[in-house]
Amino acid sequence: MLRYTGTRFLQGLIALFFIVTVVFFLARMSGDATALLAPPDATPEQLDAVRVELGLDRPILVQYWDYLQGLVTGDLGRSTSYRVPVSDLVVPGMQATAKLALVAFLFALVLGVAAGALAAFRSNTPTDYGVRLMAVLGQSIPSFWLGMILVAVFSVSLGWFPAFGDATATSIVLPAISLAAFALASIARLTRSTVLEMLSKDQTLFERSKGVAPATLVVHVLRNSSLPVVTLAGIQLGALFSGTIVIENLFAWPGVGQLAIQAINAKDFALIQGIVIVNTLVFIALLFIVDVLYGLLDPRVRRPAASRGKKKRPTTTVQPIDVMETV
Amino acid sequence: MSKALLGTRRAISGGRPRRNHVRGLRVVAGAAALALALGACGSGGGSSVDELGEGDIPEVAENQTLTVGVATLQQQYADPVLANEGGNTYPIKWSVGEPLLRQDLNAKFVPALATEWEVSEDGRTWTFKLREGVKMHDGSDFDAEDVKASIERVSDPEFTSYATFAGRIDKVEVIDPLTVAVTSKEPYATLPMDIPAPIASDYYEKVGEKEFRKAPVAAGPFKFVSQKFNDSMTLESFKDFWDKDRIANFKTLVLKIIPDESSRVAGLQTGQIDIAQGISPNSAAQLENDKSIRLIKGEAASQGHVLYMDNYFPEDSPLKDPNVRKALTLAVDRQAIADSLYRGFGSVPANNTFPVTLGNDPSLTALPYNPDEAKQLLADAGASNLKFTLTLYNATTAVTDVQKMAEAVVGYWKEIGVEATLDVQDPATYLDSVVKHQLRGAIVLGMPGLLMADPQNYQIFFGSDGGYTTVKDPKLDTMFADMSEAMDPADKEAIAKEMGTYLYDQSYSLPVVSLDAVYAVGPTVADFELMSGNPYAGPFWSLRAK
Repeated sequence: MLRYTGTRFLQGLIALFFIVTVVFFLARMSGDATALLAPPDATPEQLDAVRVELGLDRPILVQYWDYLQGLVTGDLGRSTSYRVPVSDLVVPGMQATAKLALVAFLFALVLGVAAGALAAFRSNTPTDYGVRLMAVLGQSIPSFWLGMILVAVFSVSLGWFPAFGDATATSIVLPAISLAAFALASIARLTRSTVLEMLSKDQTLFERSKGVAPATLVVHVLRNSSLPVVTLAGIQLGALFSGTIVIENLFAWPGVGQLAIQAINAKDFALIQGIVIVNTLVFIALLFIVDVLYGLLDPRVRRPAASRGKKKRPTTTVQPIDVMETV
Repeated sequence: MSKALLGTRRAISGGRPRRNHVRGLRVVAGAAALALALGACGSGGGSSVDELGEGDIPEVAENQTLTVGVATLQQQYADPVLANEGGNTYPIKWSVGEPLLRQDLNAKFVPALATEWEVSEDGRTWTFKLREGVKMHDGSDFDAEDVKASIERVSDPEFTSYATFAGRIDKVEVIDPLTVAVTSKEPYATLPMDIPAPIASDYYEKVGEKEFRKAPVAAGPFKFVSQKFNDSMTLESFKDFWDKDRIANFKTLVLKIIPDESSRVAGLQTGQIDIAQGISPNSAAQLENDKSIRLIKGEAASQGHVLYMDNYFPEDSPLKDPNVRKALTLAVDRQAIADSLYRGFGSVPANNTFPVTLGNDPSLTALPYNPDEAKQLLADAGASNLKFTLTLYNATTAVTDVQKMAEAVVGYWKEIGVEATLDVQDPATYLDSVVKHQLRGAIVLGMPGLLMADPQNYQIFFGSDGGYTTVKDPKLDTMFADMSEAMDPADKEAIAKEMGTYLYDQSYSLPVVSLDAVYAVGPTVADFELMSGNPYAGPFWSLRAK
């Protein structure tokens, strides 16, 4: 298990390095912030002075090397537009984003699995049709539109929730629902199809014929259906973090999504890089957790350990499900 | 010297007669106004903004906190000197800072912390008499050292927006506590207006640069209290402010950043905010039926322009022919764009100048919509098959729906046989390539009235070495040079007028539409008057709560 985790960790680091490199050079391809920061009537000499001030006069490889050195010591650099260290902006921003994404995720996971399982156990009943319809809607309605409708109904007309911001405890409800809708629908659909498949297995038939209590049957089926759902949930959580860009702007939520738009408009290279790095770290960490969870749930994934392990092998063969197909 | 002094004062405090429409910015439109007027009779108090007189504004408001939903504060600099990076940072500059000369609601410069000033014969040394008895936010007395500290501070290259100013300043001398002399390297006619807002020099020396930026101390009508990045900034009314007319009747002003317009409107409807800035014509038209919400309009806040890049380059191009450019203007039904796309919250400008621009000539009339004449002009010029690219940004604070505006223009051009291809880019990429002169054909730029109040700034777009220039024309260059040397504002005004007529005759740009700035205010607001020509948020010292 340790070796497995170690490999995963190294892979994550390599991915991070490549992403940092790509972002560093991509951001610089469409020009720099000099023209945006200097007064409109600045002379070429003054523009050069600004460039020197921003450190953009040095060869790009030197800038890159300096940046990497800073990164190793945990220094994300200095925001050229806000004129404060990048970490002063990204850390509180990420906290706000994480809060929103995690609440949305819990909401999507709990409701998604429940709705998906319900639909599968009651397949081809009105319940099933209802869940499937909601899932199709959830996947096809754009989140910003859903957000605007929710605000119009629950804030403006009913006055139940604030229209934006994070000032009160109930502020998170509407943005979290808007953000979660897509993930909820995806999780519900995948849960439904996996559970349905599991229900048609010989193993389930056997359990049924043996007269296993329905509650126990549900637990067994759900447990054996959990692997693809865990994978999808991990990917969806990552997507929730990046999906906050739209939702944060709509709900004026002070997270990194809003910050990202400011950074891009201001061509604030250090800030753009900082946001991408923190987002990447979160994504890599999530995939890492999913991988470890996978290993725990299915001993065959950590095969070398499994051969020595004492855990029971699962009695079914899990069909690899193409997660991307249902995302 | 006395002549120069007199002349300077005249220009700075508004050398030409004030025009009615500039002042009367508060407009409540149509049915809403009627409904509000009727409602007002019942409740006994005026509720329509344009009905409010002095008597309706309480001495001390019941609502001690007002929250303004703003689209952006950009980098949210709390420091009024740093907050000079374009109009989106001005709300702070104007709230926390108080300069030597300030802009009034007609965007005219009037004395603030300086009471009088004179310039030496060579036009290089400006001597300012400072206002007596002014308090800074920390309770200290304002003096010449505060002016000096602020000017010397911006010579640090990190104050990029003062790069031009700092480069032109030679030295600052404190003559006595209430007199300061600023010398420039060359004659510098706009020096008094460009000086950064004074800062509390003792405090600055004590806490240092870094801490000062986090907790600035200046002399503006609002004190900085706290802020949360990308969320909000909290200010407090400065009750010892020198100008009693600009002290708020409430305590706390919260500037809440809400990037999405529909959320600002929703927030106003739920009462989460009291004022929503940056209302688009579409929303404004919808809100006109909402009885609890009033609209405030600042006329001619910005203009949307099509400019022709080819005039900057030596190569031949049909766009270099003034008649072709005139045809491109005649071809566009600008009134229709103002009426339908901008729902009447816009008008057709005659030329590039604004009512707030010095030397603006109101006698010029906009070229009419005349596609037949346009076609004829193109045919005469041998440019019937005109083709070029129109490059633009997908969004700008200065012009709402800039992309739709460009699409409309291209549509009208098509009708006279001109084929313009649209190339829409993100603002940062686009502006960078404009500044670097990497584009050809035509481009779109928004011009904020505030920037164009000083006709010298037209150099940015039409002077050979202007940052966003699209033209190389020796005649215009001479005008800009003469303006910058004109110490007598009457001379400057005359040149500016000439420049306006020349730009009009040459059709160097196509002024598509002149747009109003629209705010929506809720029931807690007693009074709010907007600055003419300002498409950005603020200033908030005219805001009064109920």
